[in-house]
Amino acid sequence: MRTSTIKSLAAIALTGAGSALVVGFQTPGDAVLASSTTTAGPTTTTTSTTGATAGGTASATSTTTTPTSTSAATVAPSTSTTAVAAATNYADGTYTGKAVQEPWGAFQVQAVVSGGQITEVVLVSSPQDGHSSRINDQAVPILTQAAIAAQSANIDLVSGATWTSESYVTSLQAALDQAQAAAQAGA
Amino acid sequence: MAHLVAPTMGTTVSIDVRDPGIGLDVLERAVGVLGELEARFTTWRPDSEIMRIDRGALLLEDAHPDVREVLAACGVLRAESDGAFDAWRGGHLDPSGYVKGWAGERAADVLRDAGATSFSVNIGGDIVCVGEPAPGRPWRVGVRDPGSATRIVLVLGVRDGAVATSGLYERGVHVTDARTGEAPTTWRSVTVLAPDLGTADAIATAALAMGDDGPAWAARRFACRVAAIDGDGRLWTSPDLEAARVA
Repeated sequence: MRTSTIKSLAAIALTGAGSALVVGFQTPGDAVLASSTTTAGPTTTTTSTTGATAGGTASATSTTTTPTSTSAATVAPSTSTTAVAAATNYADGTYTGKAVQEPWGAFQVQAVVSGGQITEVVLVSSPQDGHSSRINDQAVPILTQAAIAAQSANIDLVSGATWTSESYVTSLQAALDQAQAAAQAGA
Repeated sequence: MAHLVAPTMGTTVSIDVRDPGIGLDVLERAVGVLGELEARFTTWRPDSEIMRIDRGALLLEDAHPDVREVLAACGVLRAESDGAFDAWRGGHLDPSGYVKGWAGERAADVLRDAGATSFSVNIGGDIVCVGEPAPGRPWRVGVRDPGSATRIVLVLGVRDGAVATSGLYERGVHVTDARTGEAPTTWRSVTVLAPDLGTADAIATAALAMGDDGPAWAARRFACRVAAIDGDGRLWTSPDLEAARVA
């Protein structure tokens, strides 16, 4: 599965303030300063389908997660502190998260890891009804930015009103679990 | 050292603990607390305590102590904001402008009680920072441009404090001035740095709702640090915010 075939190509923009490297989906009006990265390393395209998840009303789902599980909601406990340290935790490659079933269709993202860092998050599929598409259009860039910014050496967190998609997080974490497992297998 | 991302309260929480001795089980407990609070405070389920109070099926004195605490705090904020923040809007009870931040502090309490001294809790972009992520440096909190998800307008260095942003760039218009019922126009987002997240969240919402003078008023009235961004991406900051800026 090549990311270039995905309808929403991610783009990398180097921001002014803070020189933080963030990634967002290209939308009209957003300046694109550099375009997408190349992918090195193994490509993993594992898809598994979970049961339906309730949209919008989900409560905590991770209370039974153990440190060794592959729960989608868990970034492994050894995930460490800075971008530099985090770099050692993900093996380069493209990882497809599980398809999370929403009432209107499946939601699935793909994470691209390059140089040990998440460099792109691509929406592979999203529900097709108008309402959730609109939500996804808004939520995905913010979530992507947060995912990238959180591993940046310059920024630990991003503050902003967010309309986040649980399905996005679930699918992304599943992808990152694979990236981490690949790193551990290679270490 | 542990990091957990989980869905909660209609958004996503990310908990990042840097203390070496804190395991994932502690973070899971914190997320569990958020789940309990969500069930109690949600306005999306008719059987929540908030909705039962709203329709008169539950007396405040019979409500859970958490509910009484939150509604009392909302009452204080309503008075202090001259009504710009009001948990009763349009005749219905909706304290969610305070609850999310307050719940974030409750989750932080779980971590503190377990001995954590260096962590952050980020609930949908509203953030509690405790200690330092690495020796000698603060948590670096980027505030995004409301007009572009790929641009950070400023970066705040925060050691012990909370950062909340209220904005009009998502969810459509979900903030209205409680006094007029009208949506504000001047500011696209207001960010407040305050000692606790419940207060920061409520003040950010109130300041945004008040319109033109809201951010300056909030900074004066609550002695908190404020940054506001308008529709053209221009930044206004309260004088003492600059001390917290790292970029």
